[in-house]
Amino acid sequence: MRKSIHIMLLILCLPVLLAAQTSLPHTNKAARLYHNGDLFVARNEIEYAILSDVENDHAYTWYVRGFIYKEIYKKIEKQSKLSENREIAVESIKKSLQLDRTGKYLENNQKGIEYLATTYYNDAVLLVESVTEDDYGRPLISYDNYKSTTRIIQPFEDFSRSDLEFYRMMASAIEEIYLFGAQENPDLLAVAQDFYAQALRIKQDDYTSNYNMAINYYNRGVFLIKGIGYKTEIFELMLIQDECLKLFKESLPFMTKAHQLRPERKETLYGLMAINRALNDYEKSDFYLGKIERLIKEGVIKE
Amino acid sequence: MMALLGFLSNDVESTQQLDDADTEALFKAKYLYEFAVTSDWPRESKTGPFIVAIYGSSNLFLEMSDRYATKPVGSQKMEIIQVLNLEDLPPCQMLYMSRRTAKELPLVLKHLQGKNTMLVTHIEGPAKPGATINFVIQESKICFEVNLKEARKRKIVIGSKLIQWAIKS
Repeated sequence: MRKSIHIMLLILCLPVLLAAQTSLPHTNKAARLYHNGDLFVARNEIEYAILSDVENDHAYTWYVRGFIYKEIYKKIEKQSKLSENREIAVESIKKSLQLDRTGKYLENNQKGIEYLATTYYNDAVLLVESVTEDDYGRPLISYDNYKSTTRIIQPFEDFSRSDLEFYRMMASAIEEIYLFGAQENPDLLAVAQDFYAQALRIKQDDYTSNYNMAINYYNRGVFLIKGIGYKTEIFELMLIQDECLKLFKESLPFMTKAHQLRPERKETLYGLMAINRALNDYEKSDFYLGKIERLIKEGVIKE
Repeated sequence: MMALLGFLSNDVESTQQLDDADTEALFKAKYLYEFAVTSDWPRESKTGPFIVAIYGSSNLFLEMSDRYATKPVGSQKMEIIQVLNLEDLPPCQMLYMSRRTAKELPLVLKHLQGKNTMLVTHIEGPAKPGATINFVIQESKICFEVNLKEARKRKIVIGSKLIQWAIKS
């Protein structure tokens, strides 16, 4: 899995929480405790604050609460992908933004949300990298949290580019699980296909998704054929052929599209040769073989 | 400062590997095995190993060797050999010749004259004299046709199961 690391720096200023409000005694106390580093005592105090009708209705109370929980998450729960403190931080800052009619806490609230959204995003990336056969739902949850958290401050954010990349990476990660140890579970390939299909709904001309989708269908067919053994009955052989042909036929338009997008890429030429051969179309298969040989001879592609 | 890790932020060629198995060879290997176990050869062919000779397809030879060599055919054990030169063709119960060697059919038939060898070919079009079984592609599917007259000539009894699945006999 080849990845490039895209670094975006987010400068997070420590918010000034000590903007004391005379009518908010619990909140003020919680803010002082926060600044002194007594995070857990601060958390208890801010919970008292939200039980008070007056304090509960103030943007400052939720702002302080959000940052206390964010800091607890940062200090003790950073490794937890299911941190409740982080969820409470997001909800609290969200509520502060709703109550903050003058925009007094807007800038810091936005920074807090940006920070928390980024942690969800990074969790999604790390979870994709370590995804297993049984828990491919976890990166999705983190990625959805990233999007919903971002939308709090950017309701019209276009996620199509990161969606595309996320779906491709999920598909690729699941295929790798299959290839490197779970070959007895071809359903994983179907799961990967669903992710490629989602990626293609975003960008029909995405080379990687088209190519990998084609390979995925093709390999599923080959997997079935490889399962043929001396105990396979002739009628089963006929059924397997029917099933494989369906998969190979599904594969062909995706590989053709990938080839149109990058006509000189040898992998697509090999792919078209293999798919046509699997469809027992020898003329077309030989055509692509001839093309590969010619391009190798001309030095356009390497052997 | 918080770093945002990226997914595949550029147009990356993160592509999967094509399974390079020869699908045609895998299917044909199974067919040849079925042709062997469901047909019956005369008594004189039932001693020693049951030899399947493959001419013109290394992949088929490898698949047959990998999956079906030493499997029983009646009381005989299946043995797979690759024929590189027709002059060296040993006595065998079955000979497969690939599509690419079709033009050598007359020479093959000369070698098989008077022998109880099942000749399996893959020749397109109507003329394939001498072949007991011929592979054909029908709607992209590998099927086979049986020539019962040729089988009788070589004293081979084709099993009813094969005749049932053959596209014409």
